[in-house]
Amino acid sequence: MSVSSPIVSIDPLLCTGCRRCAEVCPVDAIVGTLHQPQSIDTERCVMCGQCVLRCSAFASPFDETISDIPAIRKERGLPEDDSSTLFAAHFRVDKGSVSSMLEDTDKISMVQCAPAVRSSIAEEFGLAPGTLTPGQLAAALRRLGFDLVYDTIFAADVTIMEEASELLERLESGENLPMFTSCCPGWVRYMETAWDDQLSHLSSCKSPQQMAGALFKSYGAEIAGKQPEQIASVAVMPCTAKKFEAGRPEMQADSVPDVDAVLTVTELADMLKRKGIQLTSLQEEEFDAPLGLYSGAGTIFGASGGVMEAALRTAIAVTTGKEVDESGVTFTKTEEGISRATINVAGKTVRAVIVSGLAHAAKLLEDVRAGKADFDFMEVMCCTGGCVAGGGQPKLLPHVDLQDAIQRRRESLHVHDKALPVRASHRNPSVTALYENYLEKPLGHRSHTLLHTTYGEAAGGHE
Amino acid sequence: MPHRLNPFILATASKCIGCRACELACAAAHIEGGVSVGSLQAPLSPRLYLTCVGEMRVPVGCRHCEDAPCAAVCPNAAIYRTDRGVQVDESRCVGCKTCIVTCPVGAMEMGQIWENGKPVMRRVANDNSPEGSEMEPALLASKCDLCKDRAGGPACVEACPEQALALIYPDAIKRRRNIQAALALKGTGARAGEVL
Amino acid sequence: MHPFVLSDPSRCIGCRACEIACVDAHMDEDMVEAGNKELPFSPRISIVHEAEVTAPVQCRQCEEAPCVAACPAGAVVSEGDTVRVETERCCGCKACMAACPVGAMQVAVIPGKIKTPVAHKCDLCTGREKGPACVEVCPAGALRVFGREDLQRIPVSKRRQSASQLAGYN
Repeated sequence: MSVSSPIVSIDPLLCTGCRRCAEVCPVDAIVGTLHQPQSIDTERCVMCGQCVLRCSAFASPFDETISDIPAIRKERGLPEDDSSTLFAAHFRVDKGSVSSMLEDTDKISMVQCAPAVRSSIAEEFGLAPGTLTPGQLAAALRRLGFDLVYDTIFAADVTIMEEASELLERLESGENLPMFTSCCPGWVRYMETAWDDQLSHLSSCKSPQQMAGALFKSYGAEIAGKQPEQIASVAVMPCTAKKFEAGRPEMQADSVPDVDAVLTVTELADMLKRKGIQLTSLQEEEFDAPLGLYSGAGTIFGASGGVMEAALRTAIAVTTGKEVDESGVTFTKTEEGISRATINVAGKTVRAVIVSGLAHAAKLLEDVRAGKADFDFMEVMCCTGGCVAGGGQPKLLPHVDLQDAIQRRRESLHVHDKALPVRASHRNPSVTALYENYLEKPLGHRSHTLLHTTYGEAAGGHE
Repeated sequence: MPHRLNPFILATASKCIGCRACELACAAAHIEGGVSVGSLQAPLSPRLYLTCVGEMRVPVGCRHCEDAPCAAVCPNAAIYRTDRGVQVDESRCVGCKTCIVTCPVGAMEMGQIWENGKPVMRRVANDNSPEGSEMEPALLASKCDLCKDRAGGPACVEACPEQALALIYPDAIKRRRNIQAALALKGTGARAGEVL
Repeated sequence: MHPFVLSDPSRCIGCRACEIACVDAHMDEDMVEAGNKELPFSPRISIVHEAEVTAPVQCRQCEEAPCVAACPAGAVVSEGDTVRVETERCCGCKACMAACPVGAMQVAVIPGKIKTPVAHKCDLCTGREKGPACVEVCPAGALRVFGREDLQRIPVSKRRQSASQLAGYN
């Protein structure tokens, strides 16, 4: 698979021009007229993959215009014996490169899974939406051949440590406020493509995926007694934009990428099935310590509002010394896709906003640009509902209620959060150990090198 | 018992946008699987077919003919009329393909048929294989069955985002339109004293 | 999908040229010589002459051929473009005749080395340069080969016609 392949694209041979994808594109990047094959405006596209989820124009065996399905498979870098259904809108498949990494005995393979993966992958094995299978996910990844089954949620906990500190620092200095979260790569890409004059508001934190990748190849390498280049770092994500994020030039150290390859939920499910691994019949197993241990706070990163709640749990503890399992802060929906709350942290009033769905962010950004922003901290998730609704999630059949499925995935992450022994990021013992043994403190020198970045021009083009 | 006309699925071309959701839903309704495309345990083999002629898009499928040509030509009585449409008994189909050639609508295809999550297989001679033969999925007559075993009715109708598909009962439509026409005639003719 | 030969009863004049051409195509001798030698005459295509219809019937080269399934000797195989009888393996059990829904299978003595009745049926004249002899000889154009491409094209073109009709009234 060539690295220059677009992350998300529409196959003109399969596209019937129904334009249903244009209805869900948050940035109006789908170009074309009705009944004609559509294309993607790569200048606008944020690679969220919502078009991929929506597309129902598959390669029917009875359509005379779709004659050479093997050629399409080849063009998409799929193996000849691949039998997955081809759709017009599709994302770059990286199963092949992950398989090669797993076969490379010179390397030690480390894998991470985003929170939302464990509440949806069972759907690909015939179970109901929102069935929670973290233990079986860990077991399946081990069967697939990963040496160390770490987890993105661990890095989400680290993100909270860094981002909460960054927010408190900015509130103190009054600079670059309001601060925006930076864990969603579709959102970051949108800032870069459409609001590049406002980039200073983005948190400098890398996303949990990239923090995990950077830690695998530094702290993780040290634990494993390996050099960074001896590690194959793979991420399983409910997201297609994460493939783009992993390839960004600033997401590497000395030309070694933090994350070598990103699989979507559908790709992982397919790899498991091809190896005969029936996820739902496996015995539950634990994620590997230390980079696979996680708190409930990190878990809810997968649903819109989760980053905010996770940050608040830690912020309350840090500023008041009072440990809470839940922040108790209720956000009120003020308009479609936007919820707000005002919180008192250490005598300061923090006005927080949660944006669910990229299309709703524009008017808030207008206010920021005009210097009229009436908030201090904003969480934005590109996909409506958060990563549970991501473009790398299972493609649901037409009769299935998508909103209901998203709600169920979301609820199951909250159920998982409540069931975990540690529910705040700063109390995750592996996180505490990471800071004690390696990073020293949030926003410290090592954190700065490994876990923070600068967004903007350096991100390069879409392809 | 009076002869009741078979219902069938009719598409409104002017409403169809060509998204293939009907074909996707149809194919999924006839194989094992869960809620996602990835959970389906077989390649998709729809029983209605999006047809593109120039700018026009419309799905075409079985009309459940009263004197069905496919049933008439079937040499093995695998196609028969029921009170729920013209149906194919796959266990009787021998794959003679005469129905494909005979159907005036183009509703019949040879498709892979799945039973208990596995394709029905057949053995084909092949001198290049060690056993002298190999197994491949069987191709059997495949056409709209009106989703006869599906609780929610035809999957294609449910899936269409534009409401371009409907399960229609021709008797009922005729009756309704007759009544409408009669009501429209009310007050005309003899009462007006007009001699035509 | 296997190709097959199908007749158009509206054209058939019942001349039996197809039957004769079929026998001719399946033996080494020419027809006169065969007549002199009194070789058996067993065509693989059968003209039906009834009050309602006159038409030849022959094998449809079924995808799920009942003759293949019925044969205890493994003498009927689905291979390449046809369903084929390996006459050397046939023991004349006639199960295929009982199984075939169109009556395409015949068990009889045919010209050649084997002197007992063996199963035989249309083989689409595989190996014959000009294709099936029956199709070539029919003076009324009543026989036609439906090839793989035809079987893909015909429903598609009918659907295009149906689609255009649908567009016409709604």
